[in-house]
Amino acid sequence: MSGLPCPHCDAFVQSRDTFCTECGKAVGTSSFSGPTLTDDKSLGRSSVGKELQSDAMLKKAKSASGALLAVAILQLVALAVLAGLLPAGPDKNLVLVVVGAISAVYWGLWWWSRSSPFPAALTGLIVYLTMLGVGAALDPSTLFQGILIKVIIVVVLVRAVQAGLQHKRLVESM
Amino acid sequence: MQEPQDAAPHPDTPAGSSPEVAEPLAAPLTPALPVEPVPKFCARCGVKWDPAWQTCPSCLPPSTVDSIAGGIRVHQATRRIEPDADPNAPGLAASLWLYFLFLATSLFAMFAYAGELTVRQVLAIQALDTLIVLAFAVVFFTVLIGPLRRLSLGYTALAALIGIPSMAFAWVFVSALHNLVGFESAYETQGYFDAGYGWAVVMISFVIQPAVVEEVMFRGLILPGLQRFMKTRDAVIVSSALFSVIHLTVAIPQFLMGLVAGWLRVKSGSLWPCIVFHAVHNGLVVGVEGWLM
Repeated sequence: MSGLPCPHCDAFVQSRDTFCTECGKAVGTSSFSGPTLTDDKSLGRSSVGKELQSDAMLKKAKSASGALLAVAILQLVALAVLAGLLPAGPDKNLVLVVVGAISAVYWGLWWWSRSSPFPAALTGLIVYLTMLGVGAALDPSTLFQGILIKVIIVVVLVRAVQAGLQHKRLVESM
Repeated sequence: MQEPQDAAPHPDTPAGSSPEVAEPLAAPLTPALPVEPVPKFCARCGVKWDPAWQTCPSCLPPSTVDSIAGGIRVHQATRRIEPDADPNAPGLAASLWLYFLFLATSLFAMFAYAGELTVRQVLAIQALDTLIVLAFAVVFFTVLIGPLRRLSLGYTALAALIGIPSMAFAWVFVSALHNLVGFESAYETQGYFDAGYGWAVVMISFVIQPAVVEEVMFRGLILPGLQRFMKTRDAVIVSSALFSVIHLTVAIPQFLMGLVAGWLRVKSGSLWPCIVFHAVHNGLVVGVEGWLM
């Protein structure tokens, strides 16, 4: 473990410390690697650092809300477009029911993610991957339609799930 | 009176004047760390340090502080999200593998046969799904053994009763949906009889295999797996969502079934009520279809 002299009393302070063990004063963060808020590899060691890190992770987990809302709105747009484009008949009704149901599910997940970000993000991710899988199984060419949006949604949800897991590990260590 | 000068070397003598002490300045700090001085303040929170402390009480959760103060035993305080969670249950990665492998068989069938499966192909996929779940059940048998040993007859009887309204709701829901969309309702078991299979195969394919395999998978493995990472209530909701989505239909009845089965599993601590509930639900569908055909 590396360290530096305390800026107040010049005693040796380990770089993990938040306070000087000799004079009890807070050591500056500029020359010390305090708990980083976004690094998934290292958890905070001080209780203050853990609190800060926990807040940052919760915020990241809540970024899932945006992705879930995006899917909900995209499905709603798709519903409107398909309702206008498809020829009338049982097939059209079926497609509209399925797309409408998916939109409803994601509106529900978005609402849920505001209080329980991790379970909502996990459900949203798995349902989304299942949807992509079904689409690809029925018609492989659809997998690459709007691939950028699909990748962004998956990445945001994966990161939200990772943040949720990290938050859980942090809470356990507190 | 004159004090004797230079009787003993003064402690403030500059280090450079004596050849033995000239070298420590050059020595780096890092290798010479094993002996840490007793701190005067806590390095984490800055409170004044009591030399009797092993750990700082203000940096620890209250439960640990109490046990230090009581002097009985210091246990590792863990604020777990779900105290009932089984630490041997599959982790998130294992749960996702199980789900996506199970899904992959259905998707493969969809891709390879464009949704037009013969009964033989359906049975083959069911056998493959059974093997997948069986493999996970073997790996995680310690998680399943308790809930399978426990019978919980009261909840099992209740589960059988709940299966009746559950099936009635699903039947009405699916019929209403078919009417809304404009599809003809088709009896799922009809194809089996047309292909020359008897009641035994129908019962295995519609009642026993789904009830046992899906309940072992969702309520036996995935639900306890999720409980390790979230509240029980949330784990039941997520496992129900997965249970309904994997059926690849507009799946509100399956979602409600998942909630009921998850509730039975959590309340009873046994897997049998879930299996009986699922079997009664599916058995009634087969029975009513057979009666209407």
